[in-house]
Amino acid sequence: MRILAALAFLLVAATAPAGVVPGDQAPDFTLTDTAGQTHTLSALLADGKTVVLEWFNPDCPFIVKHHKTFKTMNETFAAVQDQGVVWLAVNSNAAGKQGAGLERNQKAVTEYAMPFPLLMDVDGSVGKAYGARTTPHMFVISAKGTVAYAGAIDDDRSADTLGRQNYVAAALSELLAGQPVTTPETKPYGCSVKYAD
Amino acid sequence: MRFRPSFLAPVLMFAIAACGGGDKQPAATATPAGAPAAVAVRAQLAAPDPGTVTVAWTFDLADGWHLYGAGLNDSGYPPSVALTLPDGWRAGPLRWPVPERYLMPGDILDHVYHHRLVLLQDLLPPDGVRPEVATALGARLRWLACRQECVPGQAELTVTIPGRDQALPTAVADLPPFPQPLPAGLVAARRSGATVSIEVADARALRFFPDPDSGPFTDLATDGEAAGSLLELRLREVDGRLGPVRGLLQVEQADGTRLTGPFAYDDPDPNHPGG
Repeated sequence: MRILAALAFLLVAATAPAGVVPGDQAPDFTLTDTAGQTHTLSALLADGKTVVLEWFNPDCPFIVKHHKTFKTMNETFAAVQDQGVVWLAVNSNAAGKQGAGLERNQKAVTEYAMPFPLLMDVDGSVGKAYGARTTPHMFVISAKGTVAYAGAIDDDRSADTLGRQNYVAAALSELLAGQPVTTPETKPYGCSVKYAD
Repeated sequence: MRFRPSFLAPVLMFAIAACGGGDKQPAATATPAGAPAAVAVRAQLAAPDPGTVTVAWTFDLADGWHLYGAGLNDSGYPPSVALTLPDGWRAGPLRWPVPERYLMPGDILDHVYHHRLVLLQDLLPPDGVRPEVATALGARLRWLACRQECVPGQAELTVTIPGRDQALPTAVADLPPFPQPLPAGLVAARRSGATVSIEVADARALRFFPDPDSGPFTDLATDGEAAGSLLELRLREVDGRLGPVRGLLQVEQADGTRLTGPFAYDDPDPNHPGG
């Protein structure tokens, strides 16, 4: 039991909590994607959707790892997309910083063959509301609107090797089966989100 | 030549010939054709005693770039060194110099090194004495260098340790500050609820650099540095428990000198059994 407790601390060790932690109500937002479509969290939840948020920067090596070298995000979404799951990538990087800008992100959607929308959080307010710190930083929101998982996509913090455990896939599997999420929080890894100065 | 953002920087391969004797320390720097300029790696050798060879893995960084410390960070990952040792040789752990706090917009906090990072590692020869003949060992260094963008890199080095008849310097020159034990009685610490208070009389400033397994904390971006003699670290409960406070404590004294040494406070709090 003590070992499990110690492991729990190691998984979530962080300099600060996320803006939201598992169990919190997910902050509502409306953002526009790279194709000009708006997406409102509360509307998706009203439709009974489970929502995955992925913080994104097309030029971050860790995003390249999971979108290009490996198709982690696309494959994780593909496994659940017919089960009422909506996946939204969100870019909170400020204008002039790496990976920012509509044109670059429109190109990224094509380059990475992203099967889900990429939302532009130009002023970073949604990222800060969630406490998004890295790209990627993952949040799974239950259909009830609470944060069911927050943290890393997997357990390999390098920029070039795939982890053995996909935390988001595990959380989605349990959530969709009506079970408690065994690991609701891990420490995210990746590039820092490039918020405005 | 600029560091081009790419998934994986090219592997740099070069050999370090450790020339014993003389005043000049064995060292080599290499930036092969096509290699990025953000990070150049080199190694220096020293022999503090006949039974130990100390290698200083040195990363020289271009302006604006940083590498990550081994402690708790919000982003990035620290450099690593994977050794291929000859039979019978053993290697000690990497020893890290004192990092600096690097706070970014959004209260994203990392502990990093700018300009230069030197990692010390002791190599222990078989039978406790350096062999008569030169010995070569291989090392793969991996890192993530960041400024606005982040670029992973790696280099493969071959380090040749000269035979025992060739002298090595007794110490690596020009080292940055490394942690040293803080003077006994300098620091007073107590826990009240979820807050650990650290007090050092007459300090001008206090800073805490957490270990990876420390915390989690409520807001280390705010709490991890304080002007004056009192630093208060608020811990965040997970499953009704509080994690340990472990890492480095830096004491900036009234005259501006800095003492940095290991600090740990993980006594259980009566309000949080098992913490």
